[in-house]
Amino acid sequence: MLIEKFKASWMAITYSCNNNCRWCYVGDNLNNKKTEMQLEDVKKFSKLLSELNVPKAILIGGEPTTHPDLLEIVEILADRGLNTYLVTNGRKLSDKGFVMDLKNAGLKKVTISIEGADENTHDFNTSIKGSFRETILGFQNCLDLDLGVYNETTISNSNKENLEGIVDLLYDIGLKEVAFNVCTPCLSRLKKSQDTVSPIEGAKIIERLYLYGKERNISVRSITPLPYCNFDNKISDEMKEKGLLALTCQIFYGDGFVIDHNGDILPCVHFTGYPLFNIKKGKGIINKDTFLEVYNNKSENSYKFRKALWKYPSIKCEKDDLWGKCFGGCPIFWVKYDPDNNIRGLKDEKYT
Amino acid sequence: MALDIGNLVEKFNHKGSNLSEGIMESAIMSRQYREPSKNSYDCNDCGDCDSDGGGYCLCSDD
Repeated sequence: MLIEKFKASWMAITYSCNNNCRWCYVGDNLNNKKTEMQLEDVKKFSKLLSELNVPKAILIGGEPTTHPDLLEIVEILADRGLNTYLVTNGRKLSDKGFVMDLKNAGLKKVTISIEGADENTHDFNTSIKGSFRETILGFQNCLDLDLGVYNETTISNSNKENLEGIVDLLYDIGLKEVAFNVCTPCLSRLKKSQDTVSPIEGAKIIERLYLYGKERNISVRSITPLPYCNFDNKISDEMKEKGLLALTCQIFYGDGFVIDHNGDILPCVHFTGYPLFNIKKGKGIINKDTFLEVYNNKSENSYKFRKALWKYPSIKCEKDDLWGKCFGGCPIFWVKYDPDNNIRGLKDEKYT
Repeated sequence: MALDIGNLVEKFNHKGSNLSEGIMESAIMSRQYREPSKNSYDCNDCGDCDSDGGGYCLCSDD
């Protein structure tokens, strides 16, 4: 069997959300009421994850805290021995009692999305007035209750001018590290993906933020894979050495997958609506052996999808032969951007 | 309604050539049996600081 060890699984437990972020990857499915994962399904899915020895279950959405059974879901996953994490906008975590309940249910870590350094920018990006204050309170409650908390900030056209303010803000709150994504196109809403940042500009902004943090002894992490050659060599080497630069993506290796609310298996959350296959079967779900068979079979979608990804985005990548180190970054960029104009290409022999 | 993921990949504006199935499988196998790191602050250089999935280090066993 080619792939039988998995690093993580994400569970998209609902596409409801109490924010409405401008670039959300969920696209037209957002707030579709039929997208709530049922508790009975959570039990079946968690059993499968346990049988597959998947170590981590990362709850995602939409906004997972809007799911009415979130505490039970965390309990079910934790009872199965899965390290359970949550990706959230943090608004509901402004209720300290709720944070304590999540921790007691077995939640290990939280990632909170913050999309602006101030109320105006954040609330503009989330389209909800007052969301900034609740999100900040969410950070503070997690820190107060000693629940591991990280940030995730999407670099977009609408916040890129003052991201240094987010570094300062989160450091002042008490985070040890500040993490940034680069906004990629939403696959189901390509024409409306106006907030994206190109892989070249994204790398320049990451460099700027890294140097800003370095001057202040704050770690700045880049979590969207970008073409490695788009960075200044000295800065990317330094970030890589410190483990602060994402280089590849699990979708090329297939050692992570998303279970969507309805049992669809997706390569990553950005592929909402584009399933590889579905694990439901009658009133139950497929077993571990069938899952691995479908996941690895050369005639099935999972294998064919991975194979299609193993392609140089640009002829510059072939010349530099960096494949396996950066893969040209997140392939979703190449739905909107021309790789030949957005991959710089290396000239330095030491990378070859 | 489920959309076709195969058609979607065709929309990726790739300009370079395909890598062989052998290269792909060998890289996947090599990563399958790499040892996990002991904790999330001990980076094992997997480069998988998972993007919109939370930024969690995927090579750590924490």
